[in-house]
Amino acid sequence: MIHGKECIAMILAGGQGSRLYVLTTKVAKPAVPFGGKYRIIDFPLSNCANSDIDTVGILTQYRPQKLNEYVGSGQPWDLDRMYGGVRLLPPYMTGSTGMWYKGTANAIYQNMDFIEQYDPEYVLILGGDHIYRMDYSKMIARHRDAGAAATIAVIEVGWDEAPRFGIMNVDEEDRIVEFEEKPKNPRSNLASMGIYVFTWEKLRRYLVEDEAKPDSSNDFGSDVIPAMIAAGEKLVVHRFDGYWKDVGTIDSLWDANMDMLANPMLDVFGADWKVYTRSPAAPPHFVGTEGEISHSIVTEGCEIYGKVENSVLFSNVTVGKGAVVRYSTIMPGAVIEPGALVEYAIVAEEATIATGAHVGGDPINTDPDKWGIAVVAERVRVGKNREVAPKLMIVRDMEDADAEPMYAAEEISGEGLDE
Amino acid sequence: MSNLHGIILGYNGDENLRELTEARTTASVPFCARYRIIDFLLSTLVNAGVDDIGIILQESYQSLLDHLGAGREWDLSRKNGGLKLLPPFSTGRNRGAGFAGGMDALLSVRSYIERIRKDYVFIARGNTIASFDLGAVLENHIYSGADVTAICVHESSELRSEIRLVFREDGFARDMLLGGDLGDGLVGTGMYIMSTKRLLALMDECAVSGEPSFSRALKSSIDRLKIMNYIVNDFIARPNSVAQYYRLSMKLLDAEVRASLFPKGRPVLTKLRDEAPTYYAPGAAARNCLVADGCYIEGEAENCIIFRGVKIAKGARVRGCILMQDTVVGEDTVLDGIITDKNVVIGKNRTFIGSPEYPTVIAKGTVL
Repeated sequence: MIHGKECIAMILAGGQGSRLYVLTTKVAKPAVPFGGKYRIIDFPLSNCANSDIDTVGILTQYRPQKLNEYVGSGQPWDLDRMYGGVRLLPPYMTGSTGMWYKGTANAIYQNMDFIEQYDPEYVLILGGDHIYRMDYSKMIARHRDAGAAATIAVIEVGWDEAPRFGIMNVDEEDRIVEFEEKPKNPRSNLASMGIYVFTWEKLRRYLVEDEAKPDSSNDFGSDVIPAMIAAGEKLVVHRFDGYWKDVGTIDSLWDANMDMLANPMLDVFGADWKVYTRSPAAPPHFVGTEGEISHSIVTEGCEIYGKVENSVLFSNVTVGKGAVVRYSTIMPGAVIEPGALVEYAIVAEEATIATGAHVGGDPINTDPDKWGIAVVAERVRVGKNREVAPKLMIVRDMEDADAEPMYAAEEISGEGLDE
Repeated sequence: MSNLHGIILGYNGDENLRELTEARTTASVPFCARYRIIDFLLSTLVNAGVDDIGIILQESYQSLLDHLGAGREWDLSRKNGGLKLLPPFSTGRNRGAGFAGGMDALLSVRSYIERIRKDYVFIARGNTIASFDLGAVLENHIYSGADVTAICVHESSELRSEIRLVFREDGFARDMLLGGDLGDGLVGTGMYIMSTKRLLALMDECAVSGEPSFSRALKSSIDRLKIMNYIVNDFIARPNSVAQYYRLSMKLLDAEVRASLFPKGRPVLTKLRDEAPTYYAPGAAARNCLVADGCYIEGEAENCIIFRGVKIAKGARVRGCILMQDTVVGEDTVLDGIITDKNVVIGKNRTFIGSPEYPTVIAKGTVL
C-alpha cells in the first residue's frame, strides 16, 4: 500500500443552517433530505468518490448525531477504505483546553494532525450545503498546472446577483487579484463556490499565522484567502459551468428540488456519474388504479393513490386517494391522507397531513407579499380540514377541525423562526 | 444473535421457467421489481438474527454469485460465519452430475455441515419466495421438543408443493405423502428446522442407504422422528412455470400480498444499484403498477411490474407486463402480457401480445 495521499478532502459540515429553520432544528444542514432519495452531503461525498478522492474528513459540530449515523463507515460512497476513507471530525479537548470550531479556517487548523497523517500534496476544502456535480480531479489538475498556492472554484452569476456572493476579481490569466465579499458594485461576476484546493504546505503556514492573530475570525473567505493574496501568493480560479445551487434557505431548497424535475439540469439520471446515497430497504413504489403522477420523481416505498404533479417525493411517502400534491417536496415517511391538498410546500420527515387539510397556496391566488413556501416540520400532524396558509411554518401538531376550514395563520405564524 | 444456521439449496429443482433460467438459477430470477427470488428467504433469515448461512450451488450460478457478492447487503459479510457460498466440489460421489436430491446436496458439503457452530439448522430450497417470522418457528421448535419442525401452509396457499404431511392427534406426523397421489394433510414447504446433530445423524444414515432425497429420508424415519408442523400464513410461493411466475408477480399488485411480504420491521434486503428516483414525465400514466427506482416513464403503464432502470417512451402503452432491469420500450409500441428479461430493447411502433396462460418471454438482451 502506498503511503501518503496526493489529495484529501475536508468537508465543512458543522453549520446549523439556521435559515432552514424547522428543517434543521434536529439535524445539521448537510443531513437535510434532498432530491427524492438523497441528503445534501451525498453530493460532495459522491463528487469525491467520482473524482478518485478516497480520503475525506467531515468536520461536524452542530447536532452531528444523524450525520454520524448517516455517513457511518462511508460504504455507500465507496469510502470504506483500509487506508483513508471517511472520518467524522468533531471538535475535541486538548489537555485542559479545547474549543468549538471558531470558523472554517479554525476547523481545519484544529485538524492539522489528521491531515498530516496522510502527508498530502493538496487539500480540497468543501462545503456541505451545495447541490452540484463536479469532477474535482480537473480542478486539482488546474491547480497543479498553474503551480498555484490556492485554486478557488468559481461560477459566473448574473450581474444583478453578484452582490450576494464572494466575488473574485481576476487578471487575464485567471489569477486572482482581489477578493470582495458581497460587493455593492461588483467588478466581476465570478462567484466563489466555497470550493478550494490548497497546496498543503502553504495552507498549513497560513493557518498557523491566522490562528496567531487575535482579531481574526478564522474564516477562509474573510481571513485566509485575503492574507494569501496580500502576501503575493499565486491564487487562481477554476471556472465551473454546470449546475450549482446553494440550498441554505427554504426557498432555495424548494427551488433546487424543483430543478431535479428539469432534467437534464441536474442529470442524476445519467449512468456515468452516479450520486450515491444510503438507501432505506424499501419495496418498489406502488401506483394505485386511481393514482396519477406527472412531471414528478417518486422513489422506493411510496404508495400513490392520489394525484401527484410537479413534485419530489422521498421514500415511503403515502398519498391517499383523492389527495393532491402539487409543486411540493414531501420528505421520507410523510403521509398525505385521502382528500388532503398540499401545494407549494415542504412537508418534512414523517409529518402527516390529515384528510381535508390544505397546506400552502398557489401564487396565482395569493397576495404576492403573503406568498411563500409553506413548511410542515418533522413528525408534525396537520389535523383534519385545517388550513395552512402559504409561507407558514408549522412546528407543532394542529388539532382536527370541523368541516369548515379554520384559518390558523395568526396562532402559528412565526413559530420556529426564532433562533 | 440466533442459535440457528441457515442452509439454502440454491440449485434448480424440476421447475421449468424456460428463458428466465437459461442463464441463471431460479433463486436468482428477478422478482417484485427490484429483488431476486432468494432475497426473500435471505431476509427472512437475517431478520430472525441468523448470521450463518450456507448456500449450496450446482450449476449456472454465476448470476447468483454476482448478486450475492460477499453478502454485505444482507449484513452477512462477517469475520465469523456470515454468508458462505458452496459451489460444487467435484471430488464427491456425483462428479459432474446434478444432485439427485436435497440429501445428496447436503452430503456433498458434509465437511461444511460438520463445522456448523449453531445448535439448530434451517433448510430450505432457494427457489422459495417466503417472508415470515422464522424466529418464532425456532422458538416453537425448541419449546415443542420435536426432532424436526416441518414448516407447512394450508392448501389454500399460493404454494404448489408435492409434499403433504398427515398429523396424529398428538401433533406429530403420521405420514408424508410425496408426489403423485396427494391426499388430505398440510402442504409441506420443504422448509425444516432440526438440531445440527439430528441432521448429521440423518445424513450418515443416508450415506449408508444411498437415499438422495431429503423428503424420502424423513418419510422413512417417520416412526422414529417426532416431526411437528408449524403453519405459516404469510405469503409463501415457489414458481414452477412461467405462467405461475407471471401469476405470482401480478399478485404483488394486491396490497395485502405486499403487506405480507413486506411487514413493518422485516425489511427485504437486496443488492443496491444506486439508481436515481423514477421520473414520470408530463403526460405519463401509471395505474396499478409496482415500479422500482431509476425508471424514466413517458408513456402509459397499467397492471405492470417495472424493474430498475426501465424506460417507457412517449406514446408507448404497456399492459399486464413484467419489464425487468433496463428494458427499453420504444415510442408508440404496445405490449400486453409480455415478460421482458434484463436489457431487452424494443423499438418504435411495435406490438407484442402475450397471454397470462402462456406469457411470452423476451429473452435477456434481445433487441427487437
